[in-house]
Amino acid sequence: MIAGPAPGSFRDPSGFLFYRDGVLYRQVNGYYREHYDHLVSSGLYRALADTRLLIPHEEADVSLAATPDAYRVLRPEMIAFVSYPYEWSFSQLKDAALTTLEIQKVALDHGMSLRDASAFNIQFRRGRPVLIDTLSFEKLVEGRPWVAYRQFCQHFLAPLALMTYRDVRLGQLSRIHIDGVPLELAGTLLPRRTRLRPSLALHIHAHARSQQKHADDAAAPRPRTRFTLQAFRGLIESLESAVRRLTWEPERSTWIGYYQEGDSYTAEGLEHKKELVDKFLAEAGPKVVWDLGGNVGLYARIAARSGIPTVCFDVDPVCVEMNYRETVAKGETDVLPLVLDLTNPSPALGWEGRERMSLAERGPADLALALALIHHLVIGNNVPLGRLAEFFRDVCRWLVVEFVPKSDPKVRVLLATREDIFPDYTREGFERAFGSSFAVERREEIRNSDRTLYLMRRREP
Amino acid sequence: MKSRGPWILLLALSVLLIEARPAHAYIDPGTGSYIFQVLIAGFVGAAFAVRVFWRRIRAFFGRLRGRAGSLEAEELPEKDA
Repeated sequence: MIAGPAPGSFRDPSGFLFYRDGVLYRQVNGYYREHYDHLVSSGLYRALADTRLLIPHEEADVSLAATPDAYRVLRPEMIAFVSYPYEWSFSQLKDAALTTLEIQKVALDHGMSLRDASAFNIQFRRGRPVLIDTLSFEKLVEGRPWVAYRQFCQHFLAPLALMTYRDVRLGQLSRIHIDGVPLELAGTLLPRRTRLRPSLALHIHAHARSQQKHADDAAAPRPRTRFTLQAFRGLIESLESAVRRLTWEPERSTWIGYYQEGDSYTAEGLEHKKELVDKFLAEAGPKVVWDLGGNVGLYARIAARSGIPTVCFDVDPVCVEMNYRETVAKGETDVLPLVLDLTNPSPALGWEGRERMSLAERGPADLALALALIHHLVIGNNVPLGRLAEFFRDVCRWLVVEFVPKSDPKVRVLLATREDIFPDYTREGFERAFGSSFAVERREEIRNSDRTLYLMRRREP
Repeated sequence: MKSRGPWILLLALSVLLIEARPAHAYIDPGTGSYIFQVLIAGFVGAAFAVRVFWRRIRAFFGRLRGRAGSLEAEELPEKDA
């Protein structure tokens, strides 16, 4: 059974993604024939696929095409979990930017160039950024500037500069501006001292002025200086240098010292909890795990250790950043840290609200970890237990959830500044609220604490 | 290159002095980016050529001294742009 193009894939005349019988294919249209052939014959595809910069694909039978004007049909390798730039930490965005530039350099060596430098063309595959838009390459036209320059500056350079010089939370701007942060907006938000940094003065401030100045120009003037290959390489290196210089050293956040701070668990309690999580994971045997509110990924790594691909979500960009740096330092391939506010998760975005998927559309997970989490949602955010259960029902098949009672020191802190309007927030109330959606398979009390760990299985209708 | 600093600044500032017009519905950011690249082409191209030159010099001296790829070769923080 075929459908038309996949929802987000409609802007490019070169081709599009589509599903047939549940398999994802990329159709290459006749329009792109010359470029695709060069991509292969020049060795660029091989060079990029072998160095893990480009998602590999297999060529499928052209008869599988969705429309008659197909030249080729490709079957790309699937990305385990699709994520978006507004869910990435600072270093994830920076690595995605550097990957894009690296790909462009290799492309230039093979007589080709990227037509797009959109952050949405990068995905994380086994812990590292890869380009997924195989049709983004075009044969190099001598003398022409980089058509993707504007996009690179808006998708990568501007947000990174804003995160470095203003506030890391400005990474969220890409949720609103889905074609990258407009340069003049970045210009007004960045502190004045960035005008003295040559790379930013050039690629953001001066670049923005040029855009505004020529906003009404119907035709591009004939360039007096040709844009030579040397200028091109110089531009890419200049951008690379600009990106590399943007660094962010996180300050202390509320969450970053959580496991060291010790008033939640004794050392024995912590060990016991880890053993239980390990045991429950083994029993449920999931193929994909989502760790919700996973902090720096302590428990996500228990799943990853067993080879289970795990996405580790947390609201705190500092935690996600630390988590990501660890995955890079240790070469971990099974943990994907992402920024996510569970009380306001990534919505569906773009044209018709269908180009970027909401969190729910990217699920469900086989198993979700909700450790030291639910009291923040119920008491901290006033989400009734019943609604919480419904949320989990949509998000996972198995649930490892920790109930943190009112006697716990952390909950007492939450209640210290709130009226206690939570009469049902007890272990019995919790089990009752979750009982209609989930069956309790295991229930264990964590040593030296009042907390209880559950393994629950979603009831199927 | 030390002598390039003032020129970078002058170039960047001169563009900043161009009067900006308010954005409106038919704005085409693409044209400005295209022209901008052509404007800076000579400058980034020249800077690139200089960097390549210095890398070759360092690599040459690194080989002369018999050290395989001295630390200086690629990792020195280079002057911007």
